[in-house]
Amino acid sequence: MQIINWWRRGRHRLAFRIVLHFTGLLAVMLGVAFVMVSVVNMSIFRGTAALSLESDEKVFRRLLEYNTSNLIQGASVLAGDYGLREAIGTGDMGTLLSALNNHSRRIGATMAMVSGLDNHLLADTLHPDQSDQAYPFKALLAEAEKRGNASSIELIDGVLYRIVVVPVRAPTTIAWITIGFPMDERRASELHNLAGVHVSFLSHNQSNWQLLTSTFSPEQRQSLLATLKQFPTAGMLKLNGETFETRLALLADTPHGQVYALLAGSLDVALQPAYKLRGISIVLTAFALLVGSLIGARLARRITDPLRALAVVAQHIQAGDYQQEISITDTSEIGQLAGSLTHMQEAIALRETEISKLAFQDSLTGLPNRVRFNQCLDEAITMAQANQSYFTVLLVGLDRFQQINDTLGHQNGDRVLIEVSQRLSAAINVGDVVARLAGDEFALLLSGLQMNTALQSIDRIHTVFVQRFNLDGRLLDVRASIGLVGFPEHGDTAADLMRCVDVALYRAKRSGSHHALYDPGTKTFREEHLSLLGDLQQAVEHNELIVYYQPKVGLGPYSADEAEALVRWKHPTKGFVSPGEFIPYAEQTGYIKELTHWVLVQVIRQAGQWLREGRPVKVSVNLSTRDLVDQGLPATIATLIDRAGLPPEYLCLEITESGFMEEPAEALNVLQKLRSLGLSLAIDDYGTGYSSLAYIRRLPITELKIDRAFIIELASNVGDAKIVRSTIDLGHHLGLKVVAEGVEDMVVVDILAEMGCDSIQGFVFGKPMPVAEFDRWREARMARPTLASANLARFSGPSAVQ
Amino acid sequence: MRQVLPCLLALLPLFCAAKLTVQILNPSEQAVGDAVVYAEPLAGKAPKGKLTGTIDQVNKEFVPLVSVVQTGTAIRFPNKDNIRHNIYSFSRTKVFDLRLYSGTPSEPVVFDTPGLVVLGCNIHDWMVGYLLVVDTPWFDTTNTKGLVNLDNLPSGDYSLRVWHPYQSAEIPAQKIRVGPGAETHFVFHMKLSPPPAAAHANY
Repeated sequence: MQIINWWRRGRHRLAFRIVLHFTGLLAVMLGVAFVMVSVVNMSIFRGTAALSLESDEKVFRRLLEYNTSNLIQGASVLAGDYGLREAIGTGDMGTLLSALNNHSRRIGATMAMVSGLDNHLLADTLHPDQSDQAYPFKALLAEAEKRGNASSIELIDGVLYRIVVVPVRAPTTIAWITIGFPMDERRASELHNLAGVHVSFLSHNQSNWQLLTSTFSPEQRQSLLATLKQFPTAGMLKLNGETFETRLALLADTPHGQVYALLAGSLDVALQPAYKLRGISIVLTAFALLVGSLIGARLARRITDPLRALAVVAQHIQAGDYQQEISITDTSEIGQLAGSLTHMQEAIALRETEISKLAFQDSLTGLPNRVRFNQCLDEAITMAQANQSYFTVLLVGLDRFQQINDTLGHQNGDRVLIEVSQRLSAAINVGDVVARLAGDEFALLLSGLQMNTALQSIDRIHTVFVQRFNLDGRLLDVRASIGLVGFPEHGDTAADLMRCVDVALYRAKRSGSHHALYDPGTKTFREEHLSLLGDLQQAVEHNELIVYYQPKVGLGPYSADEAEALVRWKHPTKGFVSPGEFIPYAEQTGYIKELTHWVLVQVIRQAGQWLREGRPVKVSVNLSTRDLVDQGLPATIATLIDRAGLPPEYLCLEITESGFMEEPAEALNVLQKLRSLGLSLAIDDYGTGYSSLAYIRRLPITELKIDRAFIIELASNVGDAKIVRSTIDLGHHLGLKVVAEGVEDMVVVDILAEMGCDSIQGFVFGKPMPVAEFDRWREARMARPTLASANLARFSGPSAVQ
Repeated sequence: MRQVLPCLLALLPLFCAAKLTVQILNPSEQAVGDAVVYAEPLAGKAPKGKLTGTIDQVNKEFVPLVSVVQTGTAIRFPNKDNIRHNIYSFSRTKVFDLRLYSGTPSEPVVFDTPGLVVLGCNIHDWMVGYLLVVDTPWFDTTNTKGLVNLDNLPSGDYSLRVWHPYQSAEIPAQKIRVGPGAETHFVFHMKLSPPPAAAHANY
């Protein structure tokens, strides 16, 4: 179980795998070597055993020959015995037989016979009673006659004999003596002792094997007898559990069958050295494997220990700890890896610092950015809530910074921003925060400051801008608007506070005053407007917007062929939404461009229609500040009027002084392009701004619209009357057409007429109305040729914006 | 036996005897020595010749190898070697056994039956001597030229026989007539087998 766990845990580890592969390879190699050596050894030893058996057979045969010659000599001595010869020579058969018995026993023979030259037996110790039998081994005799003696191996009555034949001479050959020596167990044992192999004598007659004698144990003999049926000529033989290499040697081919000697060397004995060698080789293999495994483990540890250390380091780096000492002095790949890791750690630390800087710091000024400021705000809120304290947030927006950028270049703009940031930083107390939120917006968090005492701080901030900015000797006047909010009175979250201070700044800018406290009343206004964003877009898409036309009536010969287009919004749930509510919002969000475009499309189409109907109306459309910086606007309008087939003189564009002053250069460019199209251009709300007529003179305008503020009390206010009169005069002198707005009664109409005003726009003649109503009004108007009849159209009601 | 010749020669004038010359050749016409040639009269009894003889033992050999004597001859066996010899015969013609002795035994051995006697020495197995006992005084052994002269044969019919110990087959006797004008020169051809293995000669 433990081993299984160890395996499961370890098999994915590098060290384990290295050891496994190393040891496995070693084991395979050693195994192969071991098997090969064993097999080769075995076969060598077996071959040796077979070879040794072959030489054993030679030895065996030599021994037989040697014995035979000994036996022949013995037989010759016997044959030379005088008594024997005398008995033969004298035909004394009784003496002969007893002499044969006696003498043959003397030399260890158990059989002896004497035959005469006529091949008949004279005496036979095996059959002493029979006489004059034919001699049985005639072939042997023939050989003996030739060679002087002969020997062979014969089976006599089932007993194996080695027999020798020698002549009996007296002194010439008078008889033959044949002597037989039994090849019995004793003989076999002698051979066994001399040749070192087991010896068995076998006879084979007509596929019938017989075991004559053997040096095997009785059990092995039984075993051998059992295998005699399919006898191999040589090879392995398993006898009673012991394996033998055997060799079958033909000894004699007698009339009674072949006689074989089976030589058997014990393989178990022969292979003893091989087994011993195998034992040694097993021990050596195991030892080599053990040593190999240890080396493998050591090698693996040398590789994996540093790797594991590096892995730990990498884990720490992952967790954000970049201050680790990596102490690997290795010069190998692992050392390089360690070096890389060290560098990586440093690089990551460096980059993380950079990133956090970028994330929380404004790269230009080095001040905290919006994200960081919001964090500070959150902290300040938490702290103030805990301490029951308060703080003020200031949003500082540089006035007309875009102008500085455009005229002096971004580089100088950046220098101004840096200067401002430095001055602001210097102006605040320790513990307060200055941050740059966006382009020209800076935020200040002034702790311990209450709203009612905040205005003093405002002065302190404003003094920052008193000193002019020196850009390479050019002195630059930079002003700022400031919005203020206080915690806890204006909000209790950073988001709330920022939204409020945004509104406050907006108000400050719009109002032209240099600073504004946040007014909770504007909050709802603003929020409502924000919710209108989607609604307004939807309104354009679903035609909820309607263009109203307010007539401009000419005072010379009364005419009714001009009108100002005013957009109205019929909200599906809120009913009519005042333009005063959504137009500023549209301007603020930039949606005004789409709105203007939509109005232009409607108006140009309508004007075209009126023109085709034979009662042309010259329509004025209001352009916003943003429209004036849109360089593509002239081309758009040109395309629109061209498509509608409307001559340019039927379209007038109205702009405000303030809208123009925001980006005067770009606005001028756009105006000139519009004018060159042949369009009329009017200054709306003239008199409320700061622009002088001299300045206006340089603009390509054709019309002045005097602001209603001067008209309303025209009849009673002498000052206003003077201003209006001189404005009309001046306008006329500049070649401009002059229009009075907000005219509500005929008295004023008469005064204006007397002053020489060109056109009147106001409820006295007609309120803004939809196309159909406008058409009806116009028809009625045309029917009444005199100015006096305009009184009929007069009615009272809420004044429409513009 | 050549000693017998002067004796026979002495008888020659008495019978007006004839002289026969016999030559024995092998199939290759080469002379065969040590062959016995004897002539037996077909009628009447042959006269007695000299009835003594000697067979020496010289240098562990019987000398001569082949001897021929008339029946009834007494032969002495002088031992000329400085070692002792035994002489025996198991031949049916004459079985005898002279115990080991040196010098000349006091009593000669009398061979009174015709036939072959093979002589051996009990302690020197290779020593062999052939003694042919014949019933006639006219005999001799061939010299190295294969020649034999038989002298003093009275006229009459004879059976002329030849014998050699190594002959491979018996040579048939030849009937001859001795007398004036009769053939006196005879040639026999004889094939010899090599003597039996002389394995013992080295002892």
